[in-house]
Amino acid sequence: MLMKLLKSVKKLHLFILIAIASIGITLVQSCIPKPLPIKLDQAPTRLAISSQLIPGQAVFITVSKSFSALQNTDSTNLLSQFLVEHARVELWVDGSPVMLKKVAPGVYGNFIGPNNPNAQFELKVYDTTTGLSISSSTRYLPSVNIDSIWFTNVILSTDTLFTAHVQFADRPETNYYMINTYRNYDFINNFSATDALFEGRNGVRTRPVTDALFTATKHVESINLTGYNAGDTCSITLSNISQDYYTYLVERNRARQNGLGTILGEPVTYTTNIVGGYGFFTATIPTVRQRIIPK
Amino acid sequence: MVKLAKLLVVLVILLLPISILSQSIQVSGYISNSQTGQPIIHARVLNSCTPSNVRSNEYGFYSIVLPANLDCKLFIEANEFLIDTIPIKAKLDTTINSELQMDAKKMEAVVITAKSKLKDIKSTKISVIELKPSEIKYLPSLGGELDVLKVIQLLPGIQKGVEGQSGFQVRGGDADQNLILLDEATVYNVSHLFGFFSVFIPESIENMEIYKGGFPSEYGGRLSSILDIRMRDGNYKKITGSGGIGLLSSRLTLEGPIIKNKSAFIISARRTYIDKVLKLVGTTLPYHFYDVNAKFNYTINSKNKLYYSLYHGNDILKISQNVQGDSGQATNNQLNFGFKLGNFTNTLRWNHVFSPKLFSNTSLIYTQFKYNVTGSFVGNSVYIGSQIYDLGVKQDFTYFLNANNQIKVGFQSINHTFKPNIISASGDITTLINKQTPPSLSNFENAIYMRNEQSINKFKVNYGLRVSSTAAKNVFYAGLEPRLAVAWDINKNGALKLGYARMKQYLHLVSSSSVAMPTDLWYPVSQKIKPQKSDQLTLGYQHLLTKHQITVSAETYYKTMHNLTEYREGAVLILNNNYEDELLQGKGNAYGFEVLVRKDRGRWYGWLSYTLGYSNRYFASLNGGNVFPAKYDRRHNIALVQNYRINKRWEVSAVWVYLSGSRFTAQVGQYFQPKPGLNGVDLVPIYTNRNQVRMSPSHRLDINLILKPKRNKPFSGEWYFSAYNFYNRAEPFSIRLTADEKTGSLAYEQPGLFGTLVSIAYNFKF
Repeated sequence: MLMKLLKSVKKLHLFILIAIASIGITLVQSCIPKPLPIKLDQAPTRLAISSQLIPGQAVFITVSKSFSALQNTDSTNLLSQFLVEHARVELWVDGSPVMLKKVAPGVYGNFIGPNNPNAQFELKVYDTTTGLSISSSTRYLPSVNIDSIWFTNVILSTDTLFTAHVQFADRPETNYYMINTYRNYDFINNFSATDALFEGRNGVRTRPVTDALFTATKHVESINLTGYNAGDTCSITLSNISQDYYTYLVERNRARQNGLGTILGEPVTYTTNIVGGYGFFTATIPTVRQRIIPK
Repeated sequence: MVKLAKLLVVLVILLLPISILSQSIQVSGYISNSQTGQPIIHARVLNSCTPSNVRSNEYGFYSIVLPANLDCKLFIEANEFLIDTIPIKAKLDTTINSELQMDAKKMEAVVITAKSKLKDIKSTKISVIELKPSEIKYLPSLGGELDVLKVIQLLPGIQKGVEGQSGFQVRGGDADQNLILLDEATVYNVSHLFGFFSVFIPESIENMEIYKGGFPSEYGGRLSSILDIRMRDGNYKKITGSGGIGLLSSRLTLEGPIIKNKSAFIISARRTYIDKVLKLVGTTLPYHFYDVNAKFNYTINSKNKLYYSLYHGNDILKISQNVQGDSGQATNNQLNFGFKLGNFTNTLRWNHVFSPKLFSNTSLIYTQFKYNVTGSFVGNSVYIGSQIYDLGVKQDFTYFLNANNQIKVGFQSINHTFKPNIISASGDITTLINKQTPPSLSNFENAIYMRNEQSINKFKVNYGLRVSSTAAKNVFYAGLEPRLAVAWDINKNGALKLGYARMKQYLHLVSSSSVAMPTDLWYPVSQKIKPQKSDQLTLGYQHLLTKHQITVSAETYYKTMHNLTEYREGAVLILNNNYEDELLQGKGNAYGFEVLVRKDRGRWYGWLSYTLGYSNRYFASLNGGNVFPAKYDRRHNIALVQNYRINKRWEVSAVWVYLSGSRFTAQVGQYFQPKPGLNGVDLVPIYTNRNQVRMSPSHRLDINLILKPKRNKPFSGEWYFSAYNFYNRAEPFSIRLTADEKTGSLAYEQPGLFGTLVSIAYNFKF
């Protein structure tokens, strides 16, 4: 049948017809095919932990729950949906129990007073609503003093770029540090552990530092202050942190650096010291300095 | 090197058999096409006096031992050619050149190998498949252009990568474990348009062989496969041409004698006009590619021949547009962005026949691969470039010792020079991107090798050794690579085969595992990154069903791999010179079973291939130190390739492929975590175990309808009407989240890149 049809049409006409039809079909059908659906089992819900020590005053533990990757994250009050409201949070500092109380949704805290150097912290959290629980432990690492801070700048055609130079004395053992910089934020007088959860601020940079590459006991770390202007207040914090937490910070920084994230980056299973959960339990007290960037 | 040379001499002495035929003569010569003078690769030479048979080599040269003073006949045969029968009775060594005539009937019987099937089955070749463009030219292809790289992915043990990637995987290996040679020069970037076109112009190719196991000792440098592509010499008799006009690209090949019967040339060129086609439908994509293949040959005398071949190709993207202001008004701000990447390969070869028993080939090889990315905007400009230069020499000697032994000895030296991540910038952007000209990396890769193909009663054995080494910065690596292939003639139509090969690899590809880009960088081994190594054992059985001329081949393999490279989690790859810190080394294994059923003759012909494959990896720092499946651990791979000649003018072909889904590490949860600077919260993703999720299987039907010319005229053409992905099914390449437009709820989906693509093309010759 096909052959009869082909023979009945003059060759040239047939070619022209087919050519036109092919071009037309190509233009119409050269489209991206409909994606195929797939169902994936979601990771079981677990508790996610973070912690903050206020120098000589208090400890705050934030407790939330992990949730499905299929959860739409555009919602404005998404965080509050997953904060754990009814948790029993128990802390032991060198074996002495401290019961933490709820101070804000998902935030539990209490006063703990000054700590001994190398004090051992043990944490247990139990969500009375879901029955989820975690445990973790960490060691308090002594603070490191900031010796001096100074600024340099590079004047460009459209902008001036400032660099902060932070000098501090490296401790003798193997150490890891975290340096944060804040623009126009009175870290000393206005810091609120609970607000920290909800407030995004500009000009905050976190740099994890290992002393493996330090060339001198007095180390100078230089940090570019993108978006800062002369006259801005620059707050700088320096924390002595554990190797695990340093690894976690590097992993997070790398994820941001990769920019295109899941397209070009490799998936990361983040380091955690929470048994049965996610996040990080740290006991570190930062050294804080504030300076005004000179003109 | 001196020690290695001594070792080679000892090995040659050890491997030389002492049996030498008395009162025999050596008959040798070249086999060529009578119409074009083109040498015929792997033609079969048999004789009436002894059971021995040989094949012509890559240059059409053969040498066979016959009894002296006996009336014998030589039978020289090759696919598509009439058998040449030559009576011979000689006392002394004799040179007999043979010109085979095309066989019109055989021309219609498309076959996948160009040699007597039974002889092939009985040979020691295991895990090797030979293809000629003329044999597969009617398979479905985009725009009527045969794509040799796509065809080899229809063979057992060879898997395509995901759509949009140029690489392929062989027997559970990685994409960088395949060496692709064009006239012995390494081609680093083998595709255009993210894998949609291969760089090889079909009209310029004479022959190709892919080795996925049982590697002869002259091949090395990659763990998983060697694809050896040989260009045509050109027509020694008269000027001819061929080409094709398609919707996306066109190509033209001219060939002819420079000095009749003595010197010939062939030049092929291709350019895409995808940019122009897309412009017609209102889409701007200022991208194009082009390729040029050329080869020049000169026969100095009966003992000396010179060949020069080159390939040059580039992918070019140039975007230039004015940027609108915030309120949409025109500005003087011009944004320019572009990239250019391409290969340039050169091979100069000298064939010399020392004697009827000793054939030599000397090759000088120069390869260059470059890419650069440029961008400029408002007084700022950036240039990022990478380059690879290979300069090498290869020397092969083939010694036809006697009827039962053929020895091949040689050496190879390549100096690789790498200039990765050259960056220059101007304007304010220099505060963010530092100018850098990293020091060139180089490594000097050497190998000496020998092998002997020996017949012992019902056994044929091909045994050899390759000693390879590399000298990179402050480090020297060397290793032994033993090779063995045995064929046991267990019945009239079948042979049981065993193959073993150790392979070493001194280069590796640095790319993201998520997306393979043509701009992925090759790096040499270093003190920290050690050479990759594999050991592969293959057991196979091949059988010819004579009644229907169907060849059945079944093979099973087990491969272990050491010092494989992967990226550590969260690796930063972009503009990273300190890439070594991002690499991890581990090990892996792969095993599987392959079947190939092939029918070469009749109106209906084609093949069915099936692969059952497993591939695992172990890296101490990945997946919690647990074994995980490789990304391309695709369990089942089926390819049904069928051609049917409706009549003398119409032919239809179809390819249906099925592949189990590739592996993926998917996000299956998330949690909030305060930022370390206490300035808000991050959403931290939770992933499955590495490569735990298997994506949906891919399957696709491609069809092709061919209209051939009525009769052979000086100018004749064929029409190709093709449909790629006929039923428009997505071939998943990733998993992503998508929101329902009505409810806003999220779901997973697996996108594909290419839907149904219908094309028409006209291929011609004159």
